[in-house]
Amino acid sequence: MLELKQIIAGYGQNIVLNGLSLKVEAGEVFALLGGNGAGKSTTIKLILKQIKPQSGKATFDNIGIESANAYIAYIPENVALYGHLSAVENIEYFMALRGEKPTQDSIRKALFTAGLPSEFIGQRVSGFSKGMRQKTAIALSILQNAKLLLLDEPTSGLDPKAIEDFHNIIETMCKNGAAILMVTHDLLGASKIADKIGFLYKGKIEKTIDRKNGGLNLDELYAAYNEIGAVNA
Amino acid sequence: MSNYLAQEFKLLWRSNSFKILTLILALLALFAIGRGIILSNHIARNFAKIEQLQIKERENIAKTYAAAGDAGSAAYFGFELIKQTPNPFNFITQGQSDLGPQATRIRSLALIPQIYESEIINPESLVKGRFDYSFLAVFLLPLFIIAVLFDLRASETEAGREVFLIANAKSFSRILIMRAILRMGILLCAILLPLFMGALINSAPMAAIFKIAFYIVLYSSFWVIICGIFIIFGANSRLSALGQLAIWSVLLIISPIMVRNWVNFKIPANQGFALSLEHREYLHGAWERDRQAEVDRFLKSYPQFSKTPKLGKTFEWKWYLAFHNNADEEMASSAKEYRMAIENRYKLTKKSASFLPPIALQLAIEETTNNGLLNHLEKQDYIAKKHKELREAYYSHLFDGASFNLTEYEAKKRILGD
Amino acid sequence: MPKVILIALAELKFILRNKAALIAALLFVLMNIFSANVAWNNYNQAQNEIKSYQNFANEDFANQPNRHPHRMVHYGHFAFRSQNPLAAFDRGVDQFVGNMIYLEGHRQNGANFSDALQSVNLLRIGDFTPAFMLQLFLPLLLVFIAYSCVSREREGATLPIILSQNIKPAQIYWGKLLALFAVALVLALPSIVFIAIITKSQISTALILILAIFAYCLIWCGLIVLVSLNSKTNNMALSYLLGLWVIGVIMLPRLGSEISGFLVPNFSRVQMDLETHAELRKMGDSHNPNDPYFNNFKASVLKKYNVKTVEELPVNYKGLLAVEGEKMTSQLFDKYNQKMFNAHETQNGIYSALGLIDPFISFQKLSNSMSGTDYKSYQSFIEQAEKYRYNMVQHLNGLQANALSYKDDTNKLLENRISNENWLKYPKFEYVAQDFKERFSRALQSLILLLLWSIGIIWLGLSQSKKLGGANV
Repeated sequence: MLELKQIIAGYGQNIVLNGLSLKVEAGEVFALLGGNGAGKSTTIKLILKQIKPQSGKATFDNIGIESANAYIAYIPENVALYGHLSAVENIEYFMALRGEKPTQDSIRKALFTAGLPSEFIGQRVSGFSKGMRQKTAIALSILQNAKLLLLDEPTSGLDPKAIEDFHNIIETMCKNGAAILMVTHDLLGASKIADKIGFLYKGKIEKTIDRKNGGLNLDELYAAYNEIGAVNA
Repeated sequence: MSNYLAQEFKLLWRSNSFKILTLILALLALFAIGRGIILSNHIARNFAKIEQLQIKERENIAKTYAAAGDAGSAAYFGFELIKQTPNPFNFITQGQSDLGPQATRIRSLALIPQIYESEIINPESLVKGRFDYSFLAVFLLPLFIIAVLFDLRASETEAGREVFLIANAKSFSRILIMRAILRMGILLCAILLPLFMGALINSAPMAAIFKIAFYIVLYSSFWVIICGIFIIFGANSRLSALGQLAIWSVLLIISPIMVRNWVNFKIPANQGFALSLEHREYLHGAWERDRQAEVDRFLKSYPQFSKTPKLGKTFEWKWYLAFHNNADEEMASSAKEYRMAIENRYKLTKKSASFLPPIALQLAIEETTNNGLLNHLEKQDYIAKKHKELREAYYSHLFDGASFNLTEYEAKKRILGD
Repeated sequence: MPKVILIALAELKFILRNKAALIAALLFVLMNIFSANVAWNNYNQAQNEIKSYQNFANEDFANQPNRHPHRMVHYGHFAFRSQNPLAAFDRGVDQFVGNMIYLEGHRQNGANFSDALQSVNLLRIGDFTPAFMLQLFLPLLLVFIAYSCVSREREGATLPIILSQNIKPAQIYWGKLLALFAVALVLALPSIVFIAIITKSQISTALILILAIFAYCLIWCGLIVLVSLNSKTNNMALSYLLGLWVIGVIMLPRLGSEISGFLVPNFSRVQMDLETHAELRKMGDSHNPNDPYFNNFKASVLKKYNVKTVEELPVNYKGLLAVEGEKMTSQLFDKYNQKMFNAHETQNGIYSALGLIDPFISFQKLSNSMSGTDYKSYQSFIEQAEKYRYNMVQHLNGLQANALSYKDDTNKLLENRISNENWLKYPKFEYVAQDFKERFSRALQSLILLLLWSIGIIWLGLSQSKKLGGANV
């Protein structure tokens, strides 16, 4: 369970996150919505320890976020891999950064689970589409047994089929008990797979809609979005 | 850790540009070492040829003058070749000795017109400069270092991988440091292995080779630091490439010129011309001066011959050699001044090297391989020493009446070297 | 306004707004002016020195007392190398060749006291002259200023917008080239002015040099536009261009000179001395009373004057012998000198052939030749000095033959001095620099190569520019 409590963080004098609190349970998808400048990427940077909170607490499964590196997988909006290596080799490299050496079999299995067509597994990723590179990154998160997935605009620029594939994988990962935090503009996508949607405005969650509470129809989401003035901040 | 290194190596080795750069550097190093070996062999072969020719030359002197017991003519016509042990480091650089004579022949007449002899070299090839190993290490190695390090960080940032890498690694700087070490390790192997190969082929003393290798590693670290500064300040790849190339130009092209001009301005060394002109004046003036006085002056420097008989009315070799000796003595202080000027130029240049790593490396390599400007001066000192031995041997024949004959002359072959 | 001009103006505006480029350009111009100043001062200082030493040497020679002419043969003379003022533009081989030759009888000395052996050899890339700034740094600066001239439009996706304004790819090419060439000329201007000032009346020399500068600038501008329009990204354009600069300007010239050295090996002065001596011995030995060559010579002299013994000759036989001996040695010297010149010339020829693939080499060759600082100019100094030496020695030998009698000359108790009028009147050594025609004949090959390169690179650029119009922009 990822828990952010009253986070204040930013870049020097410029405070971006201003009392941000949120909770993502295991097996739950949390979609963070917000306009430009609301603090979405800063939230991700905070979880990736690229910036330190000035105050507040960030924990994962009750341990400080700074020691939870091994559990966290990050999938950027545009997964940039080493073009001159194959998908398998890229994964080998990134796993080596984590100090791990998965077997060829497990890598292939992970790539298969992530949905990368088998004929591409041994090919150089320089020819990969955006979706294929994303799948490679997801395979990486599978191999590292990530308990928290950070997804940055995961569906932007993907074609409808790729989006559907992506949703399927996310569901699988949830069932396996991962907590998923995704930052997105995509209301429609969020309405489909998110368990909770948080609306971020000026570094704070202004409103949270929970699927359990019956919400999550698109109109209601639009209404909420407009209400907090996040459409074009 | 070893798995990580292996993965980093794989990542690097799969990159064609790095492979090509490494290959080019290795080929250039092999070329530089190879041309050095060919050149030293060529010099050795030339010297062997010269020795053969010199033997014939001596045979002629022996037949014509020594057999007749004519020590004076033998001294006048008899050039002796100065033996030189081949420098085992010539394959690395010939440095300054490139310009000096490859072999020297001297005779017992005045030294000054003989010692400044230059070598026949195609000056156009000197303008371009030698592509020797020291040129490769001092001038080109930094370019290769810049080429493999300038976008070490910027390439990741610009490809959008930086955050992804950080998310997966404990620390980004650790990745960068490991990569820099790996790249530098491979580059240094490419440039240093040919050096060691050349050392083995030429059986050069290994201690000096390790010293040179150490200097090169030290010099490389200087360039790594330059690249590192750009990385720390997060410069983009364009700024890094241009900035580092600008630094290279300033350090390797502009500042050596400035140092040279400054040193030559501070310490003029044009005494060479004056020295030659004045020496000739004094030397040939002897024909107008009192001959006995000339011999007496000589005897002041060589009192051991003071019992020599007074001059007669006709030409005598001892007078001739005496005034040649006097002319050298007359100019000794100017010659020393000229030598000091050159030595001081070297010292001042070396001082400036404390601020300029490229000059420091060049001088360090030249010093270690005994091919610097000071070595050139030392060689001149050695020639002067040998010249003194040669002329003094003739003095004892001409002033002391020591017998001169064929066996005597042949025995003197030892002055070729020690 | 023509579209080409519009494109060129837009590019110029971009360049003028690039502060880093402006600073670099300003530094370049300042360095150029500074280098011209330094080179001009150095040139004048060296020339003054050489002139004054030549005067000393002339005075010394003229002021010798009455003496035996053979003493003067050994006293000898000094020849100093003076230079065309353009040596201040391009030093060429200047600092690596000796500045002074000692001219004496029976011996041929090399030119000694080169600058290079009197200081630490730091100038391994080149000396600080305006030519050096043009050859090396101007291309680098142009790369710095304009590497992105087309790739920027591609990367920033402005290219399709420009093309949609009914502008043809060729117009973009010409516009960019024009802008760049204008910048190059502005940067080269100080050097051009410097050439114009120092050449004074040598207008044709100046014009050829300036034409070559234009061509060299055009080649680099063409190359930059060509690479930029073929590169997907700015970074790629930059790395290709910097790579080309390093290869063309730093690496190839040195590799080329090494290779020409392998193909035609050098020989040393001592070896040449010894070989000359050995050959001379074979020809004849004037000290040997039974030598066939000199016996023949003696016979022919006696026959010519129709006498039986040398004592009966109306001239001094020792003088005649000296003339004959000098003739023999000089022939040999010339033979070996020619051998050396030929070896060097072959090396230099191989090197200049590399100008085919490297315009830097052609430009450097041309600028050396036109400035009178190339190998041939140096050779001409050596040859003139040798000619002077030979004439002087033979003049003195002639005096020995005619002004002294054989009887006196063989009397060891006599000093046999002749009047010092003879040296007082002897003409001075005056180095005559090669004229325009000679220098130009050597520069012609390089000039043609440079012009061919300019045309070739523009043709290539134009044909490649068609790619810009393709769908794949």
